[in-house]
Amino acid sequence: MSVIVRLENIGVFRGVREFRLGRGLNLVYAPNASGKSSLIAGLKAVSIPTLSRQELARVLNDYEERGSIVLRIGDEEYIVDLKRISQTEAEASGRRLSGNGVVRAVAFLDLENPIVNAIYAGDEARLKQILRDVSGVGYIETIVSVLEGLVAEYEHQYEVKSKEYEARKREVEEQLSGIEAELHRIDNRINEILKDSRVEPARIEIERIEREMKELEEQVNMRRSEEIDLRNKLSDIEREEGLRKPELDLFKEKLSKLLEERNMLKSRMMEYRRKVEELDAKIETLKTERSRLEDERRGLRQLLERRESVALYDYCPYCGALIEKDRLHKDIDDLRARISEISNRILTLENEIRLLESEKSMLKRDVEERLQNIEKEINDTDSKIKELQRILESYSKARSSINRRLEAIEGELKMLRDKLELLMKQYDHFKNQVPLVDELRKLHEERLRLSEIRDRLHGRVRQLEVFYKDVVELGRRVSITKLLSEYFRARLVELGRTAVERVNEAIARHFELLRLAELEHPVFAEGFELRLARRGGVATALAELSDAEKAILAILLTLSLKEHIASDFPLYAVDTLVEFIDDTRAREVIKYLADFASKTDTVAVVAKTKPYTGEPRLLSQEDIMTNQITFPQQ
Amino acid sequence: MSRKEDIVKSLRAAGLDPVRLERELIGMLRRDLGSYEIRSYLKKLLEGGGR
Repeated sequence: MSVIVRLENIGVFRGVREFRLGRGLNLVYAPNASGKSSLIAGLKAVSIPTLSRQELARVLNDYEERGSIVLRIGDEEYIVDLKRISQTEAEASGRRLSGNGVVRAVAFLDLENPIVNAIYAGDEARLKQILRDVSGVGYIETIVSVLEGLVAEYEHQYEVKSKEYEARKREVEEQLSGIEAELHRIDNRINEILKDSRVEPARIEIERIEREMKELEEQVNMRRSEEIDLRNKLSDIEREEGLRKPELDLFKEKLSKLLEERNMLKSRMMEYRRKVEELDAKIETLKTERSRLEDERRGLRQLLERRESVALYDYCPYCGALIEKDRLHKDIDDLRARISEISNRILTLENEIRLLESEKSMLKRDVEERLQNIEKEINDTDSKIKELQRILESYSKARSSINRRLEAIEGELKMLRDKLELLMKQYDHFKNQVPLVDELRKLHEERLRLSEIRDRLHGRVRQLEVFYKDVVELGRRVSITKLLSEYFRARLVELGRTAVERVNEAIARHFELLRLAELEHPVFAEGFELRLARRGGVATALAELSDAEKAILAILLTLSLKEHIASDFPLYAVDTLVEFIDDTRAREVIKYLADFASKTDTVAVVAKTKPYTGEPRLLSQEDIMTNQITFPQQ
Repeated sequence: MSRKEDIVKSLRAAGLDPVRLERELIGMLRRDLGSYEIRSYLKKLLEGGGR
């Protein structure tokens, strides 16, 4: 499977450069400032979406405003376009190889790598924190701390709300029990009066009035209770309407904007089609030019082959003529230069074609896809508007029906009160005959007043039930958040133990690197506490390791972590670190990486500086040795 | 059944899968999102009545 990296205006490279990498080890052996780090930085930028703007600016060539990286692995293509925002910041867009930010720490070992930085700073605490994050332990800690914050917040809300509920409920209950007691006292007094012998002359009439009054009062109570329920329903409906109406307005506003945008896009269709045709024509011209150049290059290559095939002879093996060596070599040089010039032109053309195609697809996205999306959004918004209108209409119908019923109740209550008034007047008729009747009348009036208050209080109790639902919901949140917090604390303990065990196991499998770093296994204690010991068991610290040992330790840790958390990521790159290792061990480390890459089907890219020999030059394909290690030992 | 399994069962009964949630939250943190985004996501989930 081939891996192709095409860099445009990346690092030291201006214009387009293309490199081929293979599965296994790719040793990039070239002089300083030739572009080894630029190649690895390009790979990093096309792999991870989490590089900062400053890091992206460092990836882009210092003199260019735009750049791009294309990574082709088999049939898959990943493209990232870089655009400079300021001298120190750039932004990137496109399709990356991975969405996992951890890959940066475990698969790209350069001087910006956090693990490398912590190791070289001898900072064990920072290394521990990075490893906790990378292995997921630190992330679980973050989740636990967020959940604990939420538990505290919900508990506070629950406490406040339930206290408020309890206080309101107590207040209503106290008032209710006071009223019930007073009503009880009134009923007792009425019974006492009715039993009194002084009422005897008018007993039959008074008992009739009493009976009718009771019946009327019951009817009044029923109507009032219904009235309260209806008024509660009405206020619920009004609250819902209050929420839905602004929602409807928002959707209407959105619809009008969408319609406006659709009209605008439709009016631009002609212009868009013309632009697409222009782009198609340009692409076609460039493709024709490319195929013409490819034909020319093919012809020149055949010519070059023929020239090279006779270069060893003094006489032409075909026609027997004397070969003018100087002229022949000049011809060969000229042909090579022309082929290389044409190849560069073809690369530039391909890049221009890609840019135009990307412009075309962006235009398509801006117009055609946007238009399709708008149509879909219009349909969605329209159906939401209809749904909301239907709901609001049902609310309005329910409101009118409730209002009608309330009006009817009001009429019924008026009629019942009139009847009660009549019965009261009948009482007055007996007032002169029996003086106790006056008290009876007043007691009835008081009872009516109090029972009205009692009914209102029952209405408040029903309103409190709605409030209670909120309290229950808050209680549910508290208990779920507590359970989640407990779950993640349990996961923290589990992960803290298993992650360290797994990383230590992976380290043990890389025992050759441990030997080269002159360290003993295991490297981590619980909680990713670093426990370094020299061979023989003498304890040591990160700060006491030599630069070479630190570099080997960084490679060892990242390989072990990569196996544990990003084993399916196909790249592993080491930049600069090999320079810190003496050549004997560097050779062994590189051999080890070659072995690792071939076993795990990884594309390992290792940069090593070639001693300066002459003119400064840029990296070329010949500087990349795939699955072979040939650098001289110094 | 361990305490953790009990918790998982209770949470699933309440409409929330903690194993799936853990994967989602770690995915968010690995995409360089922070505590603020995690908190907003959890609040939306808890206040929306679970999943």
